[in-house]
Amino acid sequence: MKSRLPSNLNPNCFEDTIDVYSDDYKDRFSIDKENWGFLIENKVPFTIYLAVGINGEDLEERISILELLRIAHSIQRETGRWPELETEWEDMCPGGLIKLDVTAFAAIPSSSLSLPLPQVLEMICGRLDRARNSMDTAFADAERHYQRELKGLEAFNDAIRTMQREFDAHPLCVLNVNTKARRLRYVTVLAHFAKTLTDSTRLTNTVLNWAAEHTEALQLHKDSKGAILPSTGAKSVLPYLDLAKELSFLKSVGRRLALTNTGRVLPMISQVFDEFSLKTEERLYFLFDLLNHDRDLLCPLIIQLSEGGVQRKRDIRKAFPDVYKEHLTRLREQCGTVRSRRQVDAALERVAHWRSPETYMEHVVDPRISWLVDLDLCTLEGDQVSLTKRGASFATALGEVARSKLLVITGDFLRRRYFKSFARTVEPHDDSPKRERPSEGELIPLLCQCCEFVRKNTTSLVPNRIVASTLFRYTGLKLFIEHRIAADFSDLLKFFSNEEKASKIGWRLRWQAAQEDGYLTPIQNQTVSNR
Amino acid sequence: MDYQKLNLNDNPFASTPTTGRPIWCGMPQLKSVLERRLEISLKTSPTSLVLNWGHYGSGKTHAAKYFASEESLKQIALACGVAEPPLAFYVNFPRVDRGAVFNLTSSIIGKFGVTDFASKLQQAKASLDKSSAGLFARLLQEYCEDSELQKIFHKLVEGNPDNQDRIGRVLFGNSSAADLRDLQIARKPDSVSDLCRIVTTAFNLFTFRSQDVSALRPAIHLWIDEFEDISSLSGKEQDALAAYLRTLVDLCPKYLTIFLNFTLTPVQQLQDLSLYLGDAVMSRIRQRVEFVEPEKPEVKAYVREMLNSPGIRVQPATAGNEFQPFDAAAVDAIVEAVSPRTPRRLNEVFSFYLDLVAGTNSVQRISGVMVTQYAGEIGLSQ
Repeated sequence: MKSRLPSNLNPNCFEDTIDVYSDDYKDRFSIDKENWGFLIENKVPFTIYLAVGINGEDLEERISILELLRIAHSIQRETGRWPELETEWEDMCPGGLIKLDVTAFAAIPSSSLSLPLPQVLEMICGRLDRARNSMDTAFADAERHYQRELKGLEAFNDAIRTMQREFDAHPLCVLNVNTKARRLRYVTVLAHFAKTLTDSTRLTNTVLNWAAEHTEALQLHKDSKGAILPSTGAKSVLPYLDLAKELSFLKSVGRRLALTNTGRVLPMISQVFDEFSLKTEERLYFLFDLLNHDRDLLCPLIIQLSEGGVQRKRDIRKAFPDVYKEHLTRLREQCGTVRSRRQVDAALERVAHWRSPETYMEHVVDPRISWLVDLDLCTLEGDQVSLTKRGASFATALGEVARSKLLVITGDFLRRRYFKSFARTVEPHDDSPKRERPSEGELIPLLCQCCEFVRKNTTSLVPNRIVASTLFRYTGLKLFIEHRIAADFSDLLKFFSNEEKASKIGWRLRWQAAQEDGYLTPIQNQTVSNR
Repeated sequence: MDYQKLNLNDNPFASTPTTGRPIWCGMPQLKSVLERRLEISLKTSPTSLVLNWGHYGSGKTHAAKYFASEESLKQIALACGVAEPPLAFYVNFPRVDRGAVFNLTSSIIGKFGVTDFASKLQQAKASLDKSSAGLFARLLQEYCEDSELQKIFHKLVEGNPDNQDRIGRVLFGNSSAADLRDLQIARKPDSVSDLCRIVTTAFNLFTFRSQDVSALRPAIHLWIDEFEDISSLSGKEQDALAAYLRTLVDLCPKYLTIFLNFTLTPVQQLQDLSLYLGDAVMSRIRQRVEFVEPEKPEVKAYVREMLNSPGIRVQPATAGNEFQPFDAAAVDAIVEAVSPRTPRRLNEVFSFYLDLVAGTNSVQRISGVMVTQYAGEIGLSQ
């Protein structure tokens, strides 16, 4: 290929020192140097691109493309302009490449372009290496800026972008609860009584009475810590009230307490309770919310338990700060904005200043081990802690997500993948294979039943109206446990959003994007007012 | 801004209700529900509490102002064959740390002004005493019970201009010992029940009717906006306000309709509402009117009516051109993307594009492409 570039920048002149491939069809040179792939256009002005091969379908491509976005952001910071980024699909075969104009790295200082090409490439590689090593560069702005160019890539689909945004908005999910809040059964009891009692004094007294009547049941439980003691009075109920609020099951309204739309599901799935062991429905229900609100302590703890076999609590406490630090460091790499990274940095800074972590960890590790015992994910024999079979299987699933470095378990992730990714590992239906895609004919009567059940068990502001988040949480559990169907929140949302399908169920969904929730009304009965 | 080139005298899409006579555009179903409730208040006697609820910006304040305006009420009264329109008050929820009840009462009396309040009472007295001598005093005793509060009313109907300022200070809670001495009133009205008695006595006198007496006003409408702010009050204040509302309904059992505007999302539950209002008030609510998000065709009707409302067009829009300066594609694109579809949000978005074109030289139309181009700036989903 005849070069139109000046001799000092003509790749053909340096074939003995650099690995050049001339692409006659596209009229450009392809060069590999120091693990970077470059494309140089055969024209003036000199233009050099950093190129990454893609197939557009793999989520894993996100990692390499994010690297390009970080570099683009560095260039933008330096020059004030976003460099060109383009996706180029092959005509005759699948896949393509994504290329970023990095000429700016060669053109600063401006005299650099008078140097021979090997030196120019060396300079660019040096700057790219620095950009790669500097994980401090945010990519959220670049991701937004190149939205159009990234369209069609699976690694940047709406779901992944929403999860990333959600993570950047709330990069840390940790429950701040009293160490005495150990038994999840008490939370179910609270939710059950909160259906009718809204005054906090009456609610705590009722729970206190229930606890007094079930002292023996607690003694028989695998782990008897966290008792609500009548002798301590209402004070011993407060940690559980706080836990219910932190998990967003209960909310304060004025001076009173009310169940939230998701909290309302808890009394629906557990109407009889005399023991402290949780039913499958409850375990799956709690696991969702504990992951949603306590991801950054619960996940590293489970992974630590899976890696260490049977461990003493004291050893877990001792090792946990390092495990947590490691988790935060991994999280830091996934921060898309400066703000989210600062928050993770602040958490890392706090961990570095923990004094006598062994004592402090008692408040962090012990309650979580108790929750895991209630969830049947780990066992406790004296001071020895180990994961159950379910726990080990769940830890494997968590480890896969963590190792992929692609996704963080955000609320949106759980709404899309909880039953499909986690619930099946925690509650496997050993006797028969899972049916993830039931026919519409099978699904519709089941959904009708769920709508009817939720309608009967909730009182909306308008008669016969049901709240989508309550319905979807209840339906997900019901379908999974009773019918072996893994239908996540987002699947149900999609199903009900389809007017044709919804009309077969007889309920019409009005989704309120701003609220991330919606409501359903029976199709034959739509009114604007009621008496 | 150059709206003239867009065949508009002004931008009709204000994000909050403007001053002046409000107009109603679109949402005919909601309008008819509210009109029906107002007609019921003129045709029936029991006092009722109505809860208007919906999203932020769903038009509750606008509806309150629209239906509290004398012109709208005259039309409704005319339709019901009633000579006089009801007496309507629009008050905002009292934003105070203490004394919410006193503040609310002051707002109601303040809507009259002491002079007008006295004048209305004098008219009522004249009408009542004309039918039967001493009827005013007897009714006052029946409605007011407390002798010291009755004295305030007697002083008001005396019509002594020298006393008006003093009575005003008593009613608004600023009276001094000298004021009370001069008026020969032994104590200030300062309890929830005193304040309730004053308001309900006046309401009862204004709406009293018998075979021989026709009422000064056929009904009283009290619109209290932003009632959800009750949650920002202290517990004691919340209780006092709930007790005030309950007593207001109990002491004025006829011809009063209280509309409470309450911001609630459609995904909230009845329990949430009862936590704010308390059981006593909840049990007295006769109707809940939802300010629902309009459907897409309703949104279009709303926009069309807004753009062609009285006084907005320089020249009446030609047939098929009612959305000028918006192209049909632009209207479709906005209606499809806007969320939530509340009047406030719609006004915000349409106002944005209107101002954009009005402030740009040589552009007179808003196209679908333009809507997409600037969608990000106004937060429209693309």
